[in-house]
Amino acid sequence: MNEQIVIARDLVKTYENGRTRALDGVSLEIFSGEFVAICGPSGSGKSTLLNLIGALDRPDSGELWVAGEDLTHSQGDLASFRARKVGFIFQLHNLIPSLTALENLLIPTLELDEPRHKAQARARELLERVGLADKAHRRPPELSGGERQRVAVARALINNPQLILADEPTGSLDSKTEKAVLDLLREIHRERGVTLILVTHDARVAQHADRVIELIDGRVVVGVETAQKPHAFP
Amino acid sequence: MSFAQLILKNLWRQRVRSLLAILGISLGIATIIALGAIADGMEQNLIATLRSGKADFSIGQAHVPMIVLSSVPEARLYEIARWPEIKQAVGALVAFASFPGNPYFLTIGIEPEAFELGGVTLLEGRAFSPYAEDEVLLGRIAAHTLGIKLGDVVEIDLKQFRVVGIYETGNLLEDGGALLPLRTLQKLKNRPSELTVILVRVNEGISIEEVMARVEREYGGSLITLRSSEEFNRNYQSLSLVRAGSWLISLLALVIGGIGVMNTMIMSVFERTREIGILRAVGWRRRRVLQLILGESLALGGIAAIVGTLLGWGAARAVTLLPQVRGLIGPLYTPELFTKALFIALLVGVVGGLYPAYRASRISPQEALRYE
Repeated sequence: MNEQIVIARDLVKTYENGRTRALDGVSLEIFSGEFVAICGPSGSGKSTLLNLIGALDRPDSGELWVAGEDLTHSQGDLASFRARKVGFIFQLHNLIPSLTALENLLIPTLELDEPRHKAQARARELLERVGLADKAHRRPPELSGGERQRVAVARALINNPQLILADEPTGSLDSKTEKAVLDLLREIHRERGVTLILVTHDARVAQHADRVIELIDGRVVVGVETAQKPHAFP
Repeated sequence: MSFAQLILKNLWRQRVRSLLAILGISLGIATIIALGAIADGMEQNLIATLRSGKADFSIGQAHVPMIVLSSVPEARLYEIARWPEIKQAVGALVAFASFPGNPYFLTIGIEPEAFELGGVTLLEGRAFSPYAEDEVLLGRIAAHTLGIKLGDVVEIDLKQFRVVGIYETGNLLEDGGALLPLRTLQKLKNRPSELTVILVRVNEGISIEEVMARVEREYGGSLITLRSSEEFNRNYQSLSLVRAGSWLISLLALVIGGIGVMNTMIMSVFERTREIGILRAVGWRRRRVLQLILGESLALGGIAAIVGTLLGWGAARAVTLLPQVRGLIGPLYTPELFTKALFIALLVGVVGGLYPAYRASRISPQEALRYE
């Protein structure tokens, strides 16, 4: 039986001094190695939830444990948690336009104390894995939308995280590219046994996941298992 | 790619802006280098003016701001010259005089017997006779730049003198001036029985320090002894005004350059808000972001130090080529000057980068990522 990698209890997050309630008592559990889609219309709080899980933001109240870390009560900068435990993929690739694909991959490694050549080797290996070995020295503006998103996938994996968080990763892609990127994410999830949490408003995209958690108005409406369930979860 | 390479890449990205910031600091650094080298050169000349030749040490008036303003009664010379440990003691009067085409013409009143002790070498002609009222020796540089030859008549303080010899001491100021008989200069300047310095050579086997100590003991409070340029610096803050001016310019360079760097870096951070958000999202700590921005502004300062040093060197060189000052100014480049310039340039980088770096480190990742 796999352990829970995310445990959330009654998470509340408000914006604009409490006037907007983005999360209104969310409780959920996600297990290590799962591929979960968090689905819901815009404004449902799904990105807010992802930001809390990824330690980009803190909840107002409730309990949140991610990869063994208490994110509600921990003090100080959570950057090193982000560097070591999670990898982010955003809707817009969010690569640094002045740096090459390879250099973009190396950015997160600058936080780790490891020899440069090791990081360099890992980055090349990952670029090869996402099929961009020949474009390592291209800058993002010289890459297609799908290629950029593949660089972003590789960057999310560079520090060997336990958790990949993808926020509408195919939101700006055409349907053919969308499928390619989702297939890549699925493959990587299977190969590496990494937990994948994907946020989307698109039910079709959510179908790629093992389990869908649906949010509406900051509350969990339903957590169903989809047909593509690869493992047995408790 | 290392952290340092990332810093340089970020500067290269906005090369025009980086270049302008570098230019801003460089001008300040160039001023510091040029003025500093010229001031150091002038100071060295003033030091050497009264501490050259074969003298073991020299004696001047205590508590005067500039050695040229030193006034020692001639009677002291005769008292000290009688001491048994003294081999030779001679006096010299140093004064600026008016000379056509040179407002800072250095004249030294000295007796021919003191030439050796004063380090004077005759290149042409002969020495003047001690009481000649119309004979002068011209320095090598003065003769060369003014085109004056042996036998010509020159006007010093509106009085006519015949050039009977050309001399060299190796000192820029001295070689750009003239030597007159001591009595003649005392009379010309209306400073009878007055000296600027006494040059002293002690007998063989006698400790120079002990003789210097005796001078200080017997005339303590009114006379001081000088042996080296460091002592000179300690005792005569001769160029304090030039020094103060140089520091003021350094301060201005610091402030102006700092504001320029700050402006550049604030703009750069503002434009990169989203990127900094990405860095934070992928795990960069606040401190790392701070180091990145501070590193960029420090690199601006470092590059400006090199560019500014080259510009300053060129400017000082250009100044020395001006006919008005030729022979008067010889820039002196000391390691201290370069260290000071580098330090100021880096300080400008730190001062200008601190606030933008702090701002950048406070950027919240999830808000920056929403920022378009």
